[in-house]
Amino acid sequence: MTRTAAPPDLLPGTLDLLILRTLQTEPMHGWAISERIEQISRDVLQINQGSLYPALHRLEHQDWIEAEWKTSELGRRAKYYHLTPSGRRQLAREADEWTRLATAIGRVMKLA
Amino acid sequence: MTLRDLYLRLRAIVRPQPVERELDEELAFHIDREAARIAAAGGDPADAQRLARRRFGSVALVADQCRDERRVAFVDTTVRDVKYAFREFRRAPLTAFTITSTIALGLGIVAVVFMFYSAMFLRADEVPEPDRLFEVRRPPEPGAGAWVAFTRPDYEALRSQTTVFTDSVAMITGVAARVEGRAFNGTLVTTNFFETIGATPMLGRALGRGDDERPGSEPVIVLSHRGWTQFFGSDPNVVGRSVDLNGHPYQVVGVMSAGFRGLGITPPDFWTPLGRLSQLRQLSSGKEDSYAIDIVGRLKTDVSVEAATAALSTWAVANPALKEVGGHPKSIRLVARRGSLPISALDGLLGFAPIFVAFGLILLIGCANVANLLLARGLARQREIGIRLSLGASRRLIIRQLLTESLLLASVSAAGGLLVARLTLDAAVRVASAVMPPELSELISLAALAADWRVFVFLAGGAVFATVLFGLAPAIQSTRVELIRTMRGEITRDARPGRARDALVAVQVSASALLLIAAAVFLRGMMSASAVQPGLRTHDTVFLEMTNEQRRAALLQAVEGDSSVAAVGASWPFGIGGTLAEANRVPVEFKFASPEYFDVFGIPSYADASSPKRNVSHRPAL
Repeated sequence: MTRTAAPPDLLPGTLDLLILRTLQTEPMHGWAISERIEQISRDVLQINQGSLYPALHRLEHQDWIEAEWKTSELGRRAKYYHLTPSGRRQLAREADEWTRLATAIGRVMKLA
Repeated sequence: MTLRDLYLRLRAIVRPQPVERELDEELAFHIDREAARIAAAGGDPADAQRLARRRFGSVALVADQCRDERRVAFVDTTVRDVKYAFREFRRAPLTAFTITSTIALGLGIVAVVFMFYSAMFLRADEVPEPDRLFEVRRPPEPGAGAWVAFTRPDYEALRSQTTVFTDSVAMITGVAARVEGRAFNGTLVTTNFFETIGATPMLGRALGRGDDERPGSEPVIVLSHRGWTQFFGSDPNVVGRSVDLNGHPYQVVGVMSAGFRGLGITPPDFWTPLGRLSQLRQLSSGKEDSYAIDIVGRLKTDVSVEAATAALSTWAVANPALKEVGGHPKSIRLVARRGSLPISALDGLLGFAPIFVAFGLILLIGCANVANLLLARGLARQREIGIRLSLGASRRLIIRQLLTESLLLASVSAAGGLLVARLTLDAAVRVASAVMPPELSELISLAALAADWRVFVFLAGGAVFATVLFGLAPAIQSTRVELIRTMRGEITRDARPGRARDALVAVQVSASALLLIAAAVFLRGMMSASAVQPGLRTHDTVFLEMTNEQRRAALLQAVEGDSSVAAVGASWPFGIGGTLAEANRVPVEFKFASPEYFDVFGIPSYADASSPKRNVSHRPAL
């Protein structure tokens, strides 16, 4: 797997949305979240791995995700994050907002 | 801020070690997992760890960013500063002691002034909605005389004929009485007093309807917290006890809490029904109805003060029974009666400003002294500060640390200030009771100036203020160092706080001079006031107030018969000073006096003064 293409800059706040969306399906630890985002976006979105953790801790403080120590695939414990009810609501809000924005930008691009 | 946020933050503050361990573990797991991926993809296992680390970036930086998300850095730094400060205090305990005692003295003295100010203007009685309590008053004619008094029939009429109050009460304050042989200060109230004001008793019960006329049974009194502690030693079994009041048995039925002072600055010692007036004042029957009373009402919530004033004025004009005093317009004014002086706190502050400034100057001098001391210590600490600066501490961080030190010292000083204030007041009470005659000193209630939350807030604010005054300049000054020369142990010229110290000395000298001059002017004024000749013979005259009309003749005879009495004169009103009347539409002050009155006071007369009842323009030249 080569990682040569420079990752596009994420819009501010987009990382939070991506994390929340990724956690919608199942609880995951930090590494798995970054891996999943890269896989699904076909390596277009490469997250600066270091910046993932401050974001996770911020979301935890906002009570949108909750952490739990569980045994990982490596056989030792890891911190797994899952969505809280208020995190689900926040995801719905942000996803709507994102769709609105994306549609608007798409329209402008077609016109131009 | 969510509950979860609060929990996570608290956990990070209270148990920092597990939180830190978990953070390390989480980040370490990420790198190991990434290394495992690289190895699984065919990378060199020895290299995998290194590659994973490189991809992750600085672990320390990420950990720091995660800590920032907790937003507890402020607490961390403060805890560190406080620990450092305590080490510093241990190293130089004498300096710390000097600073705290200097500031404590200054803060304590200002706190005493504040306690007086607070008692007069800020403190309200602890009753529901004290701001809706108003006293009904009839203002005097502009430029002359006293407020026109109400009487009991006026009160009854007001209560039954007007609707602006939910209810109103009548009271007579400052009634002296002897209870168990000791001088008490009582307040007579209508029996709806406690219910209307909303004050609940701490022990027993308050006065209620029916306490006024209870033929055959003992009359009752309710003690104030002050009366209870001062005269009954806070005896919890006082309720139900029978006490001797002016020779009559009265039953104690309740004790009010300390927060209720009967709508005055200092509380009375007891309350008793207004119906007992004749017994307390020994008036002949029928005189009760002409005795002056205060009327206090609780304004209805939907009635404004202006509307109530207008309604009551209309009532007063239409009421023929309301005594007219010399063509006096029957207007009514409502005065706030919440337990403090009826002056706004801001106006009160203006009046108090000179005293605050005078005592504040003492605090200022103390702060200047301490600032000087800290500047000197700043020189001694230059090496330490230089080392910290060269190790990468920012100047802001060091100033913050020095200010934390100052604030800690100031907080200890604030606690000491409270002690100083308490001791000062106690000493004042003791001196007052030692110097003044007991009848007088018992009436002066300095004990009512208890420390409440306002004093604590004031002292806390004072501590912060003092910190800025004495700590800021030295902190800024002593962090202004040349690093390299300081490290070599040289004290640099720049850091020698010459100009700052000169300014401090100038402040100290001028503040001290100002205080001394003010004190001298004050003393001179007092000396000249005490030397003023009032035009009366006052040094060997004694007043006796006669309230027992039935026994007046007997008392007079006893006084006249005493060999030490040279002459006896009589007057009404009591003492020096007169009452108002109108002669040809001009208000004049007059006094009823017996012919001997002038001889007793040695007042020379210009014309024949033998007429027993004559108008005297009597204005003592005080």
